[in-house]
Amino acid sequence: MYVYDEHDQKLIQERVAQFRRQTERYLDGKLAPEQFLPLRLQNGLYVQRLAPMMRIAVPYGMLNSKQVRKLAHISRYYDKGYVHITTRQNIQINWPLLEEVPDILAELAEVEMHAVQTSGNCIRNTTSDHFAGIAQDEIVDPRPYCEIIRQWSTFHPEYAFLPRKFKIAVSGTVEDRAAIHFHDIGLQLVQKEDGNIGFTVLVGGGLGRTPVIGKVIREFLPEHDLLTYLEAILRVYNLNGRRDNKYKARIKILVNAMGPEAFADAVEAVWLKMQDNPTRLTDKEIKRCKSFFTEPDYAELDDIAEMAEINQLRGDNKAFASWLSYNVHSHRKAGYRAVTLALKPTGIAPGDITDSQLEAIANLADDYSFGEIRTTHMQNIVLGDVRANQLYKLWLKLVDNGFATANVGTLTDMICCPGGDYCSLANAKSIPVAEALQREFDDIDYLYDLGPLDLNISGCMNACGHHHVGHIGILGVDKKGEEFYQVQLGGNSKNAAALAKVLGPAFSRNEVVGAVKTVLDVYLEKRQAEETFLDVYNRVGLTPFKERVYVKAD
Amino acid sequence: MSKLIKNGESQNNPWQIVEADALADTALNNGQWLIPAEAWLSNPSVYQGDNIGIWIATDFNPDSLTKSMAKLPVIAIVFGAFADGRGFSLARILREDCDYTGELQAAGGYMQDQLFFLQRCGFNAYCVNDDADIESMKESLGDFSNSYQASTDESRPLFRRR
Repeated sequence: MYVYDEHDQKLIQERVAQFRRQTERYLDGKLAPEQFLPLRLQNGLYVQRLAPMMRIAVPYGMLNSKQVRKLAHISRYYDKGYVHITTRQNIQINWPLLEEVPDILAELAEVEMHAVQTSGNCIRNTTSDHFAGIAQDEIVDPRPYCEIIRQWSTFHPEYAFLPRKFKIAVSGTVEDRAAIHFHDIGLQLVQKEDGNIGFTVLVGGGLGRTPVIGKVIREFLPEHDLLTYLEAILRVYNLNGRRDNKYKARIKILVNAMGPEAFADAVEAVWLKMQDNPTRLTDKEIKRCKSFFTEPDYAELDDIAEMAEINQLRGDNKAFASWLSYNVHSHRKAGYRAVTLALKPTGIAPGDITDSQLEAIANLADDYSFGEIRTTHMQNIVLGDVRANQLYKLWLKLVDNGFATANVGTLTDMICCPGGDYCSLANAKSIPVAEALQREFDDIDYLYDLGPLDLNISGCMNACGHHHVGHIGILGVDKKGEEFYQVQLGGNSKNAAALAKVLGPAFSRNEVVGAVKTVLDVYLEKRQAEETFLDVYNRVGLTPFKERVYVKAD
Repeated sequence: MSKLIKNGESQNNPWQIVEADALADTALNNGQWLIPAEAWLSNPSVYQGDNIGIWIATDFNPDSLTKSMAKLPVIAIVFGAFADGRGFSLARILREDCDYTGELQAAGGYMQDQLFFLQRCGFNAYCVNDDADIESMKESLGDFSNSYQASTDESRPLFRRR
């Protein structure tokens, strides 16, 4: 993991002091509310329906146990004892007091954490694959580049007041787990046959009101040119992105208006002037950043021997066997596995965890996974480096702590925004819909039979719950003051990126679960051999689902 | 905005902005004037002298920023609103691509808490109201002692200085 040096530490402490002064001026009436607004947003502080909400940055999803203990303390001391994992790998607390936010930031700075640029019209936290560094299909570890981007974008003087928010994601694997097609900039690491590393650069992807799949503007950008090229993209966007209408201000609108080729040409013209300036990355800096993401102190193990006892236990214990199948993932190092801690048990808002659960996670990470923890955009937690012969012991502890629901990748492992229970933007509640679905689909064998299924719920068209890229997406809408839910099918956040299509007229909250059930019935009837839901949808299209769901009663 | 923070001090701002529609009626011989960049570009030979500078709105076409502007004594970038971040890019283009070395004023609707960023992008004079809290503004200018990125004020990113 990246470790701060004196420069990083000083900058983050100066940020705390800056925000403390700004908060004092605001509370003294010396700083106008409309001017304080972007300042608090760029320190993660929203004012929500019931109270402020604070979004804490988890750069590319990596945490250590000390940081997780600090989050537990903060949630207990300053908040109501629970936190929420977001769909961009960050962590939110829901009830901080504005007056205490500078103190919270100071506590975070003690453990090399912050809330810098987690909101506002600036460059946000760079996200990546939660299996970075351990995935078997990894081409290049994306985390050193994410850290390089983090530092470049932190307090960037030119790009702190962009037309709109700006999100960058980096994928280092063959299978895209970072949703790079749906970010303002998506970066796919590639390695050429001669060993040279670079990026395929996508721009203008995004969800929200106008979902768009990103366009490739550069097939191969050498790694040393990463920052100068990002500077050039941001320069073109900052000067040309629309500022007259916030719903048309994202870079995707500009890229569509100019056309991807013209946009790429404009970037190239700016970049030609910048490409050789000192921002060009050096071998030394790339090496320095890579030095923080080396392998932990793995033992040299024989995978079959490590798994012998586990496989025996698997045969005796169905619950453990299911957990191994769904929540345990392959690892590039023999004798190790990655383990997902499922944060979607029935009755709990997806992605919510308590202070004591956070402390349990920190302890488990110390005992079983070299003290490191990852947050996922699926709103779960991953322990990345678990020795295979410890899996049974770990499972028993996860069961005790409520993290062992063996549903990862299934329908009930859903993505869900906080929705109308918390968010002032929402048109409808999303958490009760998630809970109703969890209660309806509580037969684990049925879930396993359905196979891999992404079900994503957003409480409004801003799409924090990524409903456009769910195999099944649910969108809360407001119809004359009443909550309704639109169902969409066929989205895909991976390499074969696709936007879901609307099934038909929206449903009331009472009807939506039944509609999903009918959709699944159609899938199971149409399924051939091992087809997944998405396979069937792609083969038969929307119509069979639509006809059954909206069939007229006799 | 009659005052200017410059070189860490508050002073009177001798430069007055002339709107396009008032240009014909302004006696440019007396006083120090900032005229619309568009007017200056259309006829630079008419508007010459140490007492003539230009002002640029944030929606100014960046392709019209030229090296010919390098000889001007003062350029003001007038922010329509603090949220309009185009002024930061325009300033860097003037400094880094147009070789402008004269006084670069921030004017209009920018805010105190942008001063550190403005300074980094090449501004070196800040128009303020008479009642501005100068000490507090000077503190904002020094919000940070270092920066990760290169910008107009420091051509080397931190990774070349670590």
